[in-house]
Parts: sequence; structure tokens; C-alpha cells
Amino acid sequence: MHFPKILRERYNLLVPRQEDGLVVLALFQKVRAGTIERTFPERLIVDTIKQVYTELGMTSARGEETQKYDEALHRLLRHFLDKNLEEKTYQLSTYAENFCDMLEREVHTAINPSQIQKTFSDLVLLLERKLESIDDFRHWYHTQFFKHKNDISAQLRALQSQIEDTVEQLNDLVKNEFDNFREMLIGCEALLDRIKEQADKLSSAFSSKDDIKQILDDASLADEPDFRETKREVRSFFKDIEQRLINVSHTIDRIKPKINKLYNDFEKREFDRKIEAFLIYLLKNSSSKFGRTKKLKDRTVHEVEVFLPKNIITRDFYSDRSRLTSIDYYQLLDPPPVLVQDLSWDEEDLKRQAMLRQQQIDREIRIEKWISDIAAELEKKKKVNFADYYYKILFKDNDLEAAIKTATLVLKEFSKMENVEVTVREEFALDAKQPNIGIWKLQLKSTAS
Amino acid sequence: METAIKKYGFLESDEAENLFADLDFALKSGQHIQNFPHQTELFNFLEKYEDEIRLFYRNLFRVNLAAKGSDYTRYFYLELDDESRGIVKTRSKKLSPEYTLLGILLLKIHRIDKYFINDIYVPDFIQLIKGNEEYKNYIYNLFAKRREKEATDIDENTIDEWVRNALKEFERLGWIHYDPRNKELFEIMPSIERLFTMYSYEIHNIDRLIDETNSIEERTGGLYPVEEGEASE
Repeated sequence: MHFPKILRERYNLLVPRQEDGLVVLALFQKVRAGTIERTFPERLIVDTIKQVYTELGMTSARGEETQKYDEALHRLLRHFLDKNLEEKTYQLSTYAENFCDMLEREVHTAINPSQIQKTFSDLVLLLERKLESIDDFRHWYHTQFFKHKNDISAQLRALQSQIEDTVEQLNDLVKNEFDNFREMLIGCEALLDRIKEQADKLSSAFSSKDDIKQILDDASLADEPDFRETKREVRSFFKDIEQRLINVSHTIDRIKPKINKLYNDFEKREFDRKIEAFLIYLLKNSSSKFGRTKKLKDRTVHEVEVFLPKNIITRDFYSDRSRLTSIDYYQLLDPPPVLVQDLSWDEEDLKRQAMLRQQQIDREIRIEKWISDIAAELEKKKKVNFADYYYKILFKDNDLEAAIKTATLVLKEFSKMENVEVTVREEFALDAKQPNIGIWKLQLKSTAS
Repeated sequence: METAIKKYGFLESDEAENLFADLDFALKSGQHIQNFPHQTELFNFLEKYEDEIRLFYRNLFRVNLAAKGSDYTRYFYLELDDESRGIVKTRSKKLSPEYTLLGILLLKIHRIDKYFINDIYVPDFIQLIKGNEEYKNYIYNLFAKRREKEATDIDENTIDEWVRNALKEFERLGWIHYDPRNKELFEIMPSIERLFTMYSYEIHNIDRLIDETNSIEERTGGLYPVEEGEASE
């Protein structure tokens, strides 16, 4: 390796250390903004050095500051500051201005597709005239093409660095819970859309490269090895640009779905939070009124009526079973015809039924009377032969059914009593007036003392 | 007559003979129809003749056949739109405040807490509601006027009854579906999202609603009772 000796010796002065470079840049920006004159006194340089050192956290021991500032000033005087010895003022050297300009262009290249388009059409126009001889072509390559190559690359670097910035912002968003998460996400998305748009514009601005490739292919200098070599370089540069543009698009395409997911997560998170808040709001602000206690099949519950908060209206839904479809031409749901019942009354039968019912009621009353008579006699005489009553009933009431029912009831009721003994003998007690009827001898005997 | 037949050609289809009466009854009962096994036939019939059926209900009943969701979450229901609301006021039913509360609660648990995956066992669901630190106090206060610790059997039964009745109503609406083999198991249907759409304005503006209520409370010293009777209108 053979570097000029002077470059090796002065490298550290030509390429400034961070604090020196920033001092130069700060002075450059102040002059450009007009806050200081183009020529400035030493005091202003020292002030700027102080500012930069403070910002970088470079503190010195007491008493050492002045010496440090002086050393810095001396370093800058070698290449970055020119001193006017008569007026004792300073100004930035041309090298310093170029240095600052280069720094800013590297970091903040404004993406300018229309400029690129113009650059390319100039390149095409010039190239067409520079293909007569290999020397002309070399000249085109080393002056025009080489110069613009940097502009084109700078544009792509700018695009890439914009993407990197956006990705960094997105990572920050994911890691930290920002209050304005949604706004920031929208901001990032808008940035990406803008980058993508610029990439597309650049891509179409670069379309003239195909013209250049075509012109080079058609050129008559194809036999010149030097031409072929240069042509290869041009083509490979274009290929590189194409690839980098594709990469930009791909990167954005990869980021987009992730942003959408972030959106969804956020929207969902936000929506869920709102549902939770709504639920608690409803529960907290609703009221209830208690009615009586209600007995259900196997449990008892309160009858409760709930009222939502005053500002929440209950919603309704469609419900109308009274209008089920019944279309005349399509008898899907017609109900069967209603049969009208003929309700006429049989007056005679009603009377007969009423009479029968009355007879039944009378019989029951009579039976009750007989039973109480028997009980009274039993209490009085301590013994009753039921057959006497049986025939008495037949004789007085002339009602066999009443007599039989009384007999059944006597058996049933008196057998249950603790102090009555009921005995039945399988011998007929007969009555001369009722020759066709007989009843076994049934005796009731009171055992009560 | 011929025009009418062409317009509502689905009525002439073979499927209509078996399905239309059920479909009409379900829709007019306020039920939501979705593509789940117990409703697949009705759902497919609706999707097949969607436009014709929509026209049919619009022209003959002045009511809109709405479709929401997509793919597996798609569901149909009848609704009174702004145009028909004025004409046919009486053809709607309110979702009672009790059921509204449980609906939102069910959705919150299902969607956000992801407590259940498919089938929900009713006693588990009730237990979850009664045990949730965040809102159990409000529930005991509403349905028992007591704190959980002081609740009697009647209070507990009242809460159980509220949950079970609401679930029955939701099944009628097609928002949930009980397992036919086990009536204690139910599954939430996609159409329960309808409850969200019903209250989407309030949900989206909940922060403002809370602020407004708080500021009223501050002004009145917390005396902001709901006037009973008015609230349910």
C-alpha cells in the first residue's frame, strides 16, 4: 500500500475527531442560519466548543478547560478554520464547508425522484454524443456517470435510512406502552407509505437506465476491452440499484403486515378495555327494585326488576309471530277452518238431571241423620242391633240404596272407633214386611265405661 | 301473479316445502340464523336465496333481512330499519335490562377473559360470575341488596335464576345453543356479536359516558338515582 506521506501524517487532522467535527458542523449551521457572521471572533469558537463538550458530557478538571479549548482551536486551525491575522477573526475553510456539506448530504439526502429523472436523461443525452471514441466514452464515465452515481446511491441510502428510522420507532412502540400509541402507529404507517411511494417514483425515474444499457449494447466500441470493462461496471451498478430498490419494497412489504397486527392488537386491546369499562359502568350504575318473594318448583327467589342507568336505553329486536307468512297463492301456513259448534240445550234432560242430583243430596242427608240416630242410641243403650234400623230405613224411606249405604257406613265408621265393638253373625235377621230381603245380624256394643 | 312467482322463486323450490315454515317462524321470533350444525339447513337455504328472501321480507313485511359477519361467523336476522320502524312500531320486543346485563357479561367473559373455549357448563358460569372480584359485589347488590358474605339461599337462587332465564332467552334468540344431550352445556354463537352492534355507540364512547356520570355525581354529591320505571323505557 502506498499512501502519500502527507496524508498519513495529517489524517487525524483531515478527519476530525467527533468533538472537533461537531464544533465545525455547529459553526457551519450557525453561519448558514445567520446567527453569526461569516467571519467571527475567537470567543464564538470557544463558546461553541464549550457547548459541544457539555453536550457530549466531556467535563475537565477545574483549570484544565481553557487549555483543552485552546488545543481544540489549534487542531481546527490546521484544516477547518482560516484566521485573518489582521482583523483577528476566523472563518470556516472551504474544506470545512465541503466536509459539512458532505456530512449533511450523507445523513439528510432529500429524496428527489424528479431530479434523478433529469440526471438520467442528461446522462443519456451526453452518452449518445460520447460514443464516437473510447476517450470520449471514458470522459463520460469518469465525469458525468461517476459524479451522478453518487447522487443516485445517496438517494437509495436515504430511503434505506428512512426505513431503518421507522423500524426503530416501531420497535420502540412495541417495547414501551405509549399513551399515544395509536397516533404513533398511524405516523409510522404514513412514513412507510411515503417511503414506498418514493421508492416507486425512484424506480420509474431510474427507467432511463434501460436506455443507457441499450445505447451501450448498440455502441460500435464493443471491440475495445476498456469499453467492455466499463460497460460491465455500468451494468453492475444498475443491477445493484435495481436490487436495492427491490429490497426497499420487500422490507416495506414485510413490515406492513406486522403493523397491521399491531393495529389489530391495539384496536382489540382498546375495544376490550372499553367493553370491560362498559360492563362495570352498567353494573355499577344500574338499580333494582324488589317485589315479593316468589316460590318456584323447588326453590324460592326474589322478584327483582332491574333498571339500566338512565342514559342507557334498552334495545329492541324484531319479534312478531302474529304475522307469520300466509300468502294466498301459496297456502303454506293457513290454519284449518274453525268448526262452529251448534250449542242447543235439551231442556227436559236438564230437569231430569237436576232431579236426580237433588235425590242424591236428599239421600245423603237422610243417611247422615240415621247414622247420628244410631250413635245416639248406642250411647244411651250401649247396644244397637243394626237390623232394626235397616228395616226401619226400608220402611220409612222406601229406599233400598239408602239402607245399604247406611249399612256400609255403619260398618266402616263404627269399626274404627276404639270403644265400640262390632260383631257380625252369619245369620239372617228377617222382617215379615220385607219377605224378599235379608241382612246378617250386625250388633254394635259400646265398651265405654 | 307470474311476476310474483319469479320474484319469490325460492318459495317454489323443493327445499322451501321442508324449510320455509321453520325459517319464517324462527326469523319472526327474533332468532338469529348462523352456520352451525343445528341451523345449517336454514342457513344454507338463506344464503342460496338471500336476495330473493330479502326482497320478500322487504316487500311483504316491510322488514330488513340483515346479514352480518363473514364466513363461519356470518349470521342473519330480521330487523326494523329506519324506514320500517315508524310504520311497524309494535313488531319488536325489548331485551330486558336483566338480560342486557348478562349478555354483556357473557361476552366479556367469553371474548376477553377467554375463560371458556367451546362448551360452557352452566354451574361453572354461575360460579364464575359469583366469584369474580371485579363485579360480584355489584351483582349481589343488584339481585340481593346484600354483600356476598351475607347472602341467603334465596339471594343465591335469585342470581342463579337470573342467569338461567337470560340464557334461555339467548337460546331463543339464537345467541347461544344448548347441547341437546346435556342441557347444562351451552355454546356461544357468532350472532351474540349483535349485542355489541346494539351498544357499539355506548361502548366506543364509554370514557365520555363515565366522565359525564362522574361530573353529575360531583355536582349532586352522588345523588343520581335512576328514576325507576323510566329507566326501562
